[in-house]
Amino acid sequence: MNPNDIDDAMLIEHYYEADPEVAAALQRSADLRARFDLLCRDLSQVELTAPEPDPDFGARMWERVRPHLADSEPPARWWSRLPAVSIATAAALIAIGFLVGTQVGPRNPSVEAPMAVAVDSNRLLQRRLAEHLQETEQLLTLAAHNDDSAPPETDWVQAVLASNRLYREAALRAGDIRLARVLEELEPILIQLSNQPETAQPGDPSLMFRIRVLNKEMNHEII
Amino acid sequence: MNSDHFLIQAAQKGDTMAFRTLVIEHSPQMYRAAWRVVRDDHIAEDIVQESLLKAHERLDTFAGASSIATWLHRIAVNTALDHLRKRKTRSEVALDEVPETGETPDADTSQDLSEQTAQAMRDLTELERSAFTLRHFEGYSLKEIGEQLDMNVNAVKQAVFRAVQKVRVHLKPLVTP
Repeated sequence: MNPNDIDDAMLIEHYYEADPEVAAALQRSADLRARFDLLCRDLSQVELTAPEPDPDFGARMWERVRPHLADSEPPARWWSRLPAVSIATAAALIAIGFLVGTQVGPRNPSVEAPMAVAVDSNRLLQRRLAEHLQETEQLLTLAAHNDDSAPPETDWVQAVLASNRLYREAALRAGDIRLARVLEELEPILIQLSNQPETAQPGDPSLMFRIRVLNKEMNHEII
Repeated sequence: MNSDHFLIQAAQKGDTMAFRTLVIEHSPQMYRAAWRVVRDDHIAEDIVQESLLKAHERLDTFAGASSIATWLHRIAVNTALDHLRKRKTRSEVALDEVPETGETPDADTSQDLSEQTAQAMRDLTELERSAFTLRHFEGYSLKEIGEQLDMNVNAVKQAVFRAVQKVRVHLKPLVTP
């Protein structure tokens, strides 16, 4: 490369990411070296000192973070923290939850007592599933309005995607085809949203409607 | 094997006190990294808090390819960039506009290079400032900056170039022999 063809932009680029052609041109031209030396001198002077945090900063940050730690677990991990509850068991509990919620009718204390433990576990699972549906709805709403807001964060989408897969497997094992189908339809949308948040489409509007219906059913059963 | 390694392992197993030690040890450098991007004390603190929560969530994905300090530093910078993106969305201020800071330069008294750099940074557009901060202070490659700012590499080069030109003009009275 001819040293005369090297402009300031190329020198700046070379300063940050060494370019062999610019390096060779520098060897050949004293004028170019002088320009580059000036650039190096100027950039070496550029400093931006951030304020030094006070000595208690770390402890203060810990006090701010600590109360939130229980809430900051990724959605997939609550499942793994229940070693006694396999996916199949969880699926069965979800199925029981649907039965309890939709078929048993008004509660009778004498019937409820022997099932207390199972129903409590079931409620926990239902609540998590309801939260997942709600979170998914929020995410799709955000994606649908991508033109005037930032796309959802990739990490968030990936966490929702991982949860979605677990719930879909559980629903399939429990034979809940309606839930499994909705979650199955969601998966490619979440994958696209994870890979290309700018261009992803939130999918069929009826899908959003079905998510809302499922979510309402879940919340109704939890109450 | 350094003490961080054992702390991380313990924190990954759910040891809260181990995570506390990591927070206390590393949050000051996370603060400095966040501040360089957002240049606001309170926002930088909020970003550190958010970054620490993200780090806690993702601890099990930390495999030790880099040091924990580097990993946390990156999370803080990326969270600060997320903040800038959200702020841009909320205020509808384009990345290539110079934001109103409400501060006036004081060229007579601020002879310190850091002060002058800070002033020069205020006169950059958000895009130029983000690109320059990531390249010059954080050592991101042009490709990485492009990924972070959703821009192609040529646009990043242009932004860094314009930023360097403006910063040099600002610093010229101080660095000219």
